[in-house]
Amino acid sequence: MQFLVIGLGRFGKAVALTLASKGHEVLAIDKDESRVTEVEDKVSQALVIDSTNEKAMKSLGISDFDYVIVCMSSNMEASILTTMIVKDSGAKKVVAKAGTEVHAKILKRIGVDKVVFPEAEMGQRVAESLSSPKIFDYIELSEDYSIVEIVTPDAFVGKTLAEIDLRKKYGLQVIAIRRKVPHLNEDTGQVGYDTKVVLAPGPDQELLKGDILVVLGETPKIEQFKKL
Amino acid sequence: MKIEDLLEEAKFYFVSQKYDLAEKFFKEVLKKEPGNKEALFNLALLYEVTNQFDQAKEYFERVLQVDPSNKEARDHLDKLTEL
Repeated sequence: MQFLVIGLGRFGKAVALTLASKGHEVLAIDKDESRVTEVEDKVSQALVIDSTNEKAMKSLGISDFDYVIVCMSSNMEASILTTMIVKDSGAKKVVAKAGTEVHAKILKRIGVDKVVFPEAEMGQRVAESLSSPKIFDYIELSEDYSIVEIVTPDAFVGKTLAEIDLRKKYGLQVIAIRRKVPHLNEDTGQVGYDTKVVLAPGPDQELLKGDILVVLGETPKIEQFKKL
Repeated sequence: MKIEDLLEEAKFYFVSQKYDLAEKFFKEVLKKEPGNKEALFNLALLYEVTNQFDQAKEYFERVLQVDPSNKEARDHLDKLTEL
């Protein structure tokens, strides 16, 4: 399949490289030359283009791509303008990343096929993996080592890191825990929550339901862990 | 126990991250008063915090059934269905 990835920040770069590694044809563009240089030998083609320049964008033959992915959520105006240009140029399917809920609503209004709301997106994968410790995010550090994020399996809930001893049992190291922490608003009496990251958690750290574990380890051992 | 006391107890367990107990007390409230908005909303939030999104959606929808103009529940539901 053919993909056009617009905006090569952290998210866009990850999308472009993942698609390319799966054998898809990827054209990656950004107005920042250094970002383009970073991916140019890893995707089919990478170009320095300002995606809000309608004329330049139309020259890309937008309608030939199966998917156009707009990955520039931090600049809402540019994201919306770019989305409108690609829709207007006959894009078959447009996926766009939103930075805020307002941004997401606007993107939906202008006819984006799928709005990616990174946290929520992650949430869905989390939801799908409740029954088993499925791995939902994956960063390959080298041929030998990777970092993955997994939902705490039910069997680990209420136990400390020392008790589950992932290092000894699976050769994996928990480098961080992402957790939603509820709190009581004294004025309204209502409960709300914040998302917190516990970096380098100690052995006494107890795992709670819903915790996301960020785990580092040798790739084959992670593969073994995935099968649990 | 009175409904207000049950709710207080449930919220205490919720913020103490004793989710099983909190869930139990919120459900006690709902047994006594199935349309109790506060219990429905908090239970939905509890499911969101513990990444049980199907249940979270179900309970936010129930909040909206008893209070269609509840903006907060609508916002949570929108975010959960945006997936």
